[in-house]
Amino acid sequence: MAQVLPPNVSPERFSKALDEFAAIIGKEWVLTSEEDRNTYLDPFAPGNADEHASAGAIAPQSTEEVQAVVRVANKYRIPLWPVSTGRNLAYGSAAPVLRGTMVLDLKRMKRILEINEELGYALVEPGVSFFDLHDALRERGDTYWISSPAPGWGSVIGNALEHGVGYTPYGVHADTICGMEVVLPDGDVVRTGMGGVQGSREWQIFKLGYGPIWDGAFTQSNFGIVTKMGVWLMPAPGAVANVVVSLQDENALAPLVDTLRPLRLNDTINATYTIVNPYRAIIDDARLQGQVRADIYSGPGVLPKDVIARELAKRGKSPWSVNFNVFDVREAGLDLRLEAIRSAFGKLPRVNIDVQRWRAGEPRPGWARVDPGLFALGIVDWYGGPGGHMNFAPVCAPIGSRVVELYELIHRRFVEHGLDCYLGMLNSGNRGLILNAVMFFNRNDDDLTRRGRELYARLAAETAALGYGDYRAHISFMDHAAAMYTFNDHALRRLNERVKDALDPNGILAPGKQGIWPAGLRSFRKTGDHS
Amino acid sequence: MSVHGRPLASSVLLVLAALPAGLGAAEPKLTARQEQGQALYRSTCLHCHGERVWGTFTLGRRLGANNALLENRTDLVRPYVEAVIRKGVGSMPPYRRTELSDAEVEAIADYLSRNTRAQ
Ligand SMILES: Cc1cc2nc3c(=O)[nH]c(=O)nc-3n(C[C@H](O)[C@H](O)[C@H](O)COP(=O)(O)OP(=O)(O)OC[C@H]3O[C@@H](n4cnc5c(N)ncnc54)[C@H](O)[C@@H]3O)c2cc1C
Ligand code: HEC
Repeated sequence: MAQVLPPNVSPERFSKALDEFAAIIGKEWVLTSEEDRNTYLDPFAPGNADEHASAGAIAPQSTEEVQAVVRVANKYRIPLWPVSTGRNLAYGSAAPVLRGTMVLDLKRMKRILEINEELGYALVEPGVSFFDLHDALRERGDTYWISSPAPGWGSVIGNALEHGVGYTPYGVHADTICGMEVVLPDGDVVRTGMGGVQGSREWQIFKLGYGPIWDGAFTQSNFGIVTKMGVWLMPAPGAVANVVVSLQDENALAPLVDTLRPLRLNDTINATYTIVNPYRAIIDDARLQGQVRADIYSGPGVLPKDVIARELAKRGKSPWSVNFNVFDVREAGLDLRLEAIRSAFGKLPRVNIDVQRWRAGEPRPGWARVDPGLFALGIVDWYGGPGGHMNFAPVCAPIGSRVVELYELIHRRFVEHGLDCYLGMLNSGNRGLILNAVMFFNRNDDDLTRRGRELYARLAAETAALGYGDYRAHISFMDHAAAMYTFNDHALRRLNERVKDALDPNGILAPGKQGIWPAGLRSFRKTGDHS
Repeated sequence: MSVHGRPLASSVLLVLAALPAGLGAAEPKLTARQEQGQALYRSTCLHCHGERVWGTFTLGRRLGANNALLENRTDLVRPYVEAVIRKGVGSMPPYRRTELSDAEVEAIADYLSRNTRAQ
């Protein structure tokens, strides 16, 4: 494979920059061999991974090294794409938006700097994974629980910055951030919130600080490199229950959403729930047993209605269900919550409510989804490997009629493009609902992958016209997702890019991330706007 | 996004508990490097290569049930294991040098190839 270079940088200039990087962090951590570069490609790329090939990676081990690397990057105009653990699968993994960007791999910065058991927080570096934090808390007797996304090798920092989700009351990970240390695009370093006070011991306990709240501005952004972050931890509960509500009625979605809403709003249900559609019920169950699509159906188009009905029946699943955990400090509290939940859902027709319980002292069950793992990734092989997926995930208010309208449009488009419509609806906090529609593909099937890409672009344009926006996007679609935010001729993007140009005049930090391009590289923006 | 809410072996401990009983009991003593490889394998790889999980299912389909569990294999050679770790295979993503050092990759390969004759 030919050498990949950053845009507008000559091989000579690039090689000088590499020498200077090596002088800072050591030659062995400037990774530009073909084998190394390939490990930074998107392994689940929805198309040609080379479109997002990096020019190599740089792996510093301290904040000071990051600062020095950033200064050299400015000098030679080498764009940098920071990743913490770089396992952002389904969104690009470690690969950059702009081909030829260098990955700034922070995996080697992996110290847990503090676990404070009096105040319930941890201060971590980017390379700390959910596995690492889980193990450290286990050693201390699990007095605090983490909230982990399904795959455990991701970064506590990287996932929170990406607005990731877990399945406990602390499941909106961006909300658990308290205080950051950030290297700015010019190499300066800043601490947010109370961290702005020299010698503060309150950095991880008060989010507001004094003045604008900057933590949010460094999430899903390219304004800085986060080198330390405070994360709030959940005190171990005394009792937890898993609830699965299954509804046999094909039209159960609206009443299901409307029943969940008040229970979530008043925190009776106090963690993330997932509404599961018929395809998802079948595919999850099939993959858990190692089955692939061809074991069930190999005809043309999406799974037909009769196959769906047959497979649901065979697996004891219903067309619609919701799955969540409820947490309380004591069992009596959990009883009250469960009573309210049973009474509300009991009013729906053809309903079944399954409850499992855990109490302090018992081993933590798998259904609590607190102990991180990796097996969930196997879902990507639905069409037979080598697989992958992308998500289209618009945010919708949990109002039954609205959710049904949006769902039906998404479903119809999946059918038209011939992709099984695997969809889960996850609440984000007490009021938001994310309709996470997953486009699985087989990477050897160019036609399927192409249809997935076309489907994404079409859904983004159509649902934006209805007033919806995506909450997160794959590197190939960051411009499409940003273009959904149309108010006042994309005023939000203009603001983001004004801030970008002020903080990063040379445009070296993650150009194109979240559709935010620096002045010198805006011609790389991919898409026209939907207005 | 995830496979939700089933009582599954999601922690390392549970995955370990699912290993066939007595595995390793009749084997010759491991070298120090193989021991290091074993520990790394179990903390890093077993999430996908334990009983009844993704990697094991996929390998079972491709190579037959007897060859599905990597720790039981008698045909894995060191360079192949090293190449799979660094380059990935099928849907298994590769491991970067910042995640596993060359020495760690060698230790894992040493462990998984311990029962293979004539390398
Ligand atoms: C089957 C499957 C299931 C999944 N389930 C979930 C789930 O349940 N919940 C969920 O949230 N996600 C889920 N994901 C998506 C993804 O795998 C996780 O969100 C993962 O944690 C993200 O990767 P990471 O933690 O390694 O972050 P990284 O790859 O390290 O970071 C992600 C991005 O954030 C930015 N960034 C990272 N670190 C920094 C930094 N220090 N400074 C500045 N910017 C930075 C960069 O742009 C980077 O590309 C799933 C994916 C798949 C394939
Ligand atoms: C995220 C899940 C996952 C993780 C983690 C993982 N693997 Fe795999 N591995 C797979 C899958 C899936 C396959 C089957 C790929 C195929 O055949 O399509 C596989 C295949 C392999 C093979 C090929 C066996 C053969 O005979 O062809 C080897 C060797 C292997 N893995 C070693 C490892 C090692 C060593 C580790 C840890 C360093 C590891 N794997 C971690 C998912 C994983």
